Amino acid sequence: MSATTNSRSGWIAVFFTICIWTGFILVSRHGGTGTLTSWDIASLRFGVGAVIAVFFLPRVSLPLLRVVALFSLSGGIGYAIAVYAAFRMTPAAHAAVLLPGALPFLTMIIAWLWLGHKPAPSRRAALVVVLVGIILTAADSFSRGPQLTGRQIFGDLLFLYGSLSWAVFSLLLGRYAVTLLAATVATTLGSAVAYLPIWWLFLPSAFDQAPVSEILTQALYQGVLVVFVAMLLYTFACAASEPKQWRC
Amino acid sequence: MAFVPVFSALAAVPLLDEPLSATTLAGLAAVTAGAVLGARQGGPLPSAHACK
Repeated sequence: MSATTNSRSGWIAVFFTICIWTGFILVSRHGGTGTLTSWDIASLRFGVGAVIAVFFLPRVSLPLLRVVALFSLSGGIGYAIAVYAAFRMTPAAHAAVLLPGALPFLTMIIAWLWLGHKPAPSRRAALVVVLVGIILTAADSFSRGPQLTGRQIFGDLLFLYGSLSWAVFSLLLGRYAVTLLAATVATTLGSAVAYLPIWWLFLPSAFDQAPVSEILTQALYQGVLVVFVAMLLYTFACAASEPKQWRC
Repeated sequence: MAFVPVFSALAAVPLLDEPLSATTLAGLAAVTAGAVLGARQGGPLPSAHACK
């Protein structure tokens, strides 16, 4: 494939990745105002994702069980249950700021505290600007009046916790020599094995009351598009380009 | 990739009927500016891939 064709394919992959990541916030918030509980939506993410993960299983080399557990607790269960609960309490714009917006800030702070990777002075200015964005979002929640404020702030905190979990997952990916596909398969299967029995036995569910269209939408989006298709497109985009073109 | 927050929030206005307050809009502008600034000053801010 020529460099031009490669680059064009890469840009197309970037476009669709952005569409899926943007859609994640919209579809999840829509789910948060629907019939399914946040526990149900997490179960669809892991259940449907696990079916696809089994398909990829022969093609990847899984990390040690301890690493699978770390991936599942950070990028799987820890992230999903926090953010799907938060989507029931807080508008999509707050999710936009506190998930993809706050992630670089939290990742750099954790890398600093945990790994001792002090950010360069030129980057600290960028981090301060992101912090201002997070504070402004919190200020919006505080201005919602006594009825809404408490619930919305709790939702904001859950989003920040979700971002924190994902930041830890991102740093773990850099620490262990695992491909993105293998990490996704390991995280999805590990989360499904640990979470689904607990959800089935103990957690509140509204599957029997939810419209089929709602279940199918969340299953397709969370389990297929978000977990696997976006990850494959992103990996392809990074491989097909000069990394600095779209900052992989 | 830095523009995912602003795309999501703007799309939520017509699609989910969730109006944007001026404070949230300023917050969005700040996180987007921070991500762009970080990317211009020596590569992306560190995140393996966005939250999803």
